[in-house]
Amino acid sequence: MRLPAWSELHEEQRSVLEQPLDQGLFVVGPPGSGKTSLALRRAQMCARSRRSCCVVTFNRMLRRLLHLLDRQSRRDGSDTRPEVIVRTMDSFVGEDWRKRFPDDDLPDYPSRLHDWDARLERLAGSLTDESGWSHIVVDEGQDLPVWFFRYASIICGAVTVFADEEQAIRSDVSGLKEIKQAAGLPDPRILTENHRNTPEIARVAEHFHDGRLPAARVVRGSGGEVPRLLRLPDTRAVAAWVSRWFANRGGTVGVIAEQNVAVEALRNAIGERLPSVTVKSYTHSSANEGEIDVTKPGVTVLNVNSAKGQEFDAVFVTELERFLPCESAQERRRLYMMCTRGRSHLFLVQHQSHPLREVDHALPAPEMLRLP
Amino acid sequence: MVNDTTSDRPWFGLVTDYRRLFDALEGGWLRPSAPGGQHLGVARFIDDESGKTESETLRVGIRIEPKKLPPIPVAAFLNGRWGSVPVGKVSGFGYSHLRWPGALPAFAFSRIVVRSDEERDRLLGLAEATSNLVVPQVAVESNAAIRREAVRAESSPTPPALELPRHLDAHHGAMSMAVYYVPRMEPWLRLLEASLDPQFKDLSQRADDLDAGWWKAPPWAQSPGLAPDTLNDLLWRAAAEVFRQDRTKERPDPRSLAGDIHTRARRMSTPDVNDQLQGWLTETERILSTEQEVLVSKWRRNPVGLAIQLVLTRPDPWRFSTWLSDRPDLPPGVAWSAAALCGLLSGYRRLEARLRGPEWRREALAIHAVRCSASGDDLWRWPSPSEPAPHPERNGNELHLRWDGRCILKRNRSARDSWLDADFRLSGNVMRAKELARRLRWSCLFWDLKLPEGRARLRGRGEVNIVERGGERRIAVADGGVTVRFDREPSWTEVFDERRFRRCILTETGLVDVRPTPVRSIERSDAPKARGRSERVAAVPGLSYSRDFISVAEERELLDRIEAHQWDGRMQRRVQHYGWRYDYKARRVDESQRLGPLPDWLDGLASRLVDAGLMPRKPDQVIINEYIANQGIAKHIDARTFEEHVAMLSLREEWPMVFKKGGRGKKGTGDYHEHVLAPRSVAVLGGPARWDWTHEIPKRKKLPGSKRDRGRRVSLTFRRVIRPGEAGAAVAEQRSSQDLSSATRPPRRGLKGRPSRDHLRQRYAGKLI
Repeated sequence: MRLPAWSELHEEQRSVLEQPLDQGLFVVGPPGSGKTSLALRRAQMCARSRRSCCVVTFNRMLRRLLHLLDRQSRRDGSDTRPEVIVRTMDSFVGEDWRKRFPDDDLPDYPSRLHDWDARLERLAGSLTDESGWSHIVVDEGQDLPVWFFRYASIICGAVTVFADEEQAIRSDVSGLKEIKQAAGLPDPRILTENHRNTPEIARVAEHFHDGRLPAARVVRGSGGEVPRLLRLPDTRAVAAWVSRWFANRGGTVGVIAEQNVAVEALRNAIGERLPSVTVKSYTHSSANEGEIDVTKPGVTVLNVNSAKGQEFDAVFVTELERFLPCESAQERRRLYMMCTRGRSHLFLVQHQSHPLREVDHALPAPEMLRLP
Repeated sequence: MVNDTTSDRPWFGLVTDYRRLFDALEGGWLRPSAPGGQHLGVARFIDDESGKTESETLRVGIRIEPKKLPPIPVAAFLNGRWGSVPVGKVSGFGYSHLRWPGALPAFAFSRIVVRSDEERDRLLGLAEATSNLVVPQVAVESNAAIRREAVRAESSPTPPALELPRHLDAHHGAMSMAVYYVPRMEPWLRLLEASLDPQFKDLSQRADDLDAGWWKAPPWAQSPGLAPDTLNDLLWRAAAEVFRQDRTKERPDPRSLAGDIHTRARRMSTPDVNDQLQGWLTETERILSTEQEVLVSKWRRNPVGLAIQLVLTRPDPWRFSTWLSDRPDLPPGVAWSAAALCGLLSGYRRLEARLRGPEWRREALAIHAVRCSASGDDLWRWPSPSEPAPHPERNGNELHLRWDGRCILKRNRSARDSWLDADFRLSGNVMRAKELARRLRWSCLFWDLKLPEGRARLRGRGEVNIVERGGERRIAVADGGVTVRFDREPSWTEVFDERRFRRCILTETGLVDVRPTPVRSIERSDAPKARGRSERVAAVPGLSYSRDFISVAEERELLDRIEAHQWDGRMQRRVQHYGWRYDYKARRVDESQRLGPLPDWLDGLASRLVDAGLMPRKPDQVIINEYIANQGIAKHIDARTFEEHVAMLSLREEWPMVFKKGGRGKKGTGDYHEHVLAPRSVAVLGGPARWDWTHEIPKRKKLPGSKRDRGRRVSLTFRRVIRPGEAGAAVAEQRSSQDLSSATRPPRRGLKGRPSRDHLRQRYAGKLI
């Protein structure tokens, strides 16, 4: 993810970034509206002004992504701003609680404790000094339990929360009203724009989605290139195509497959053709999240589950016949999610030997998707 | 309040929304708030945007330095009346405010003023959230300092309006990219200089000298200096016209840009280039739809066409820069032309901060871009610089681009640049240059084949003809080539074309920091260092030893060369003789045994021995010995028919050489010394080591200190034959011996208690080699 030029920052984003740093802020928006990068920018602005600031996330993948993005912007900027601190909620609460109540026996995963009322009362009653944090920024707030927002507002004067109600992935999570109340936040600013995809990609993605569309208006200017359908005979041909693309266009490339076997086969075949390029693979079962760095130019091969939350300049959705036709809302959402991983370029790759009529029927119209 | 030295200097001030400030920093210009111009307070801040309060989030004061503005007359307000005053005369005469009749250059902003620390943090934080903003000094001043004094919209004299020229942003972008990415070689900086010169002085010549004729019309030139009847010039001109179009919205599809370029070029072209243009378009479309890769290797066909393809595939400047890391071998001219086109397409506004460069460069280029883009009798006249264009300078290991006494660009000299002033009288340099040319397949090496007189049989199906064209005769071989058999050895010479090599260094593919780099001549100050690497071996007076005299690559090449020549296998070990054939029985050489000058590849090494200060005069005879497994050479002293200094270069394996004083030193005494000769090392004999000590390669099975069997060592012995006619030889030798302090003349008489030279000679008569 690259920093935008000033003129590429849209009104919605500007108005969030302009908010005073010593006050709380509540921002709600759909996927692709740039919440994560806005959260990071706000934290960076706090860090620059020597406000001790922590970004709190639900999972480790997001924590790592934020950490990488922060490092990258420091690398480019070559300045003296302190690094942004990023913690998962569990480690944040664990650390903070143990510092205050060294004798209390808190489990490793505080998120698994449901009854926090007594603890929060104890926290509020025992507060002697400022917690040490002058600002807490929460990303994907909808995934965190309500008690955490009360916790944050007790120990810290300014809490900023970014959230998406639609995107909640767990059952014990917070609604927007509860968050607002618990953290004592102002009314939410609502983001409506999709900053991630070109309109051409968004159109194809939306074709596969039949429910309420998460992201409304696409504001990214046209990249000009219409997504393409490729029919290729085998893995080697896919690898050749991806390598040729990378040789010409560079940037970050994501290749998504359904099966782990296919992920490995693609990784090997592409790596052979691009010996001097970083080619990584990532499957949900392989615990190599520490290695993945999607901010550097290179090719990343990953399975569907690992693709969530990632972004690439160009995305190849391979094994299309395994995803199409979609038979449930869940399958449609999955395809939608994969398509929207691509910022500027999208390729749907179909096995040449599977020219199924059902697949063809499920495809968008030729003016939306360039056919071979 | 912030105290600083600038507070006493005259300044103009305005208050505005931070967004307008950021727009100005991005594009380099603050556009006036009203068509009539921008009101500025004199030594105070005024606000002429009353009523316009869409975004009251963050208002900032901007201080402007009057002397950075072009000196034109402006409307200024004094005692309730407007008058027309030169801008330099406004400060200090009681004027309260003035109206600037156009856009204000951002480089004239000396300070940004906000009202609290929180506001400063927010402002800097917002700038940090972008890739392209560089904010001037930000100061926090009390609320009172930023008076929002409104200006009454009274009628004022209307001075001529300053219009920002069309295409300014595109030209500014192209110029900034051209400066940032100029190849790190002085001639390219000179071309840049000429392209920035208002008169384009020497531009054509410099462009042609670098095989980049299209630069006759730099992308920021309004009046095209091209006569587009060649493919390159046509494409260059068409691309410049298409790319400089104002695009405030996103860029269109690269495919349609390619189509536009083709259409425009077609309109200007003569029919005979149409096919080539079509060929370029087809190839570009194939690249853009990923049917083929960008072809760098055939760049000479159409360098501009390649440059445009590089831009179309990665149009954003930040993405474009990945070309230079992915393909560091791009030809310098192609990469540079592409960078300039990329800047033209994206404009200055989208350039990241690093591509904009430091303060002086930003100021110089902002002014220059206006000058180049403004047409006719424009008002954008700053006090003219003493130099019309920046000029390059070599400064030690750096290349500088200086303009009006300021350095606007500093780059390390590339390895290629160091080749441009390499001394090719040093044969070491010829050797390195050839290595480079061979590896990168640059066409500056040729072979001269001298055929002996007589008839020779042709074999093979090929047909041979002699063709005459333009006074030149050429042999044309068709249909699969022929083999010619001679009964005498024809002679081959490799010819190194220095002029072509220079051209390749400047223009060809390959890293800009090519390897190897040239050796410096011995006159240079770092020569003693090279000599210092040679160490004297204390145990044997007169013996010196240098490790790594040649590189591993050179060693490999030398061995290949040696292998390509005929070995003489008549002795126990295989040998090759060069320069002079040595008669092992007569122990001497005479004119009849002259083989001719040393071949190039040995001559280079011979010169290097002299350059490195290891031998006083250039050796003219070389014997190559091959030792396999337990082969060796018996103790001996080299024949007196050679001058004092003898150099031995070892290849492949480290084998020990044994030195014995007087030929009979015993192991464990001071008269015995064993020295391991590492591969690529040179041992030089002089003085006692040459005349009083014998040397030998003992016959052993294992390598020293190892259980490994000995394999193969190749040694090259460099000597110089004393010629009877060379009267000066002995004197020269004497002098140079003194220079090489370790050396002595051969003693006329044996020292007391030691065998005399004659004695030694008798004893080892059969073993003099």
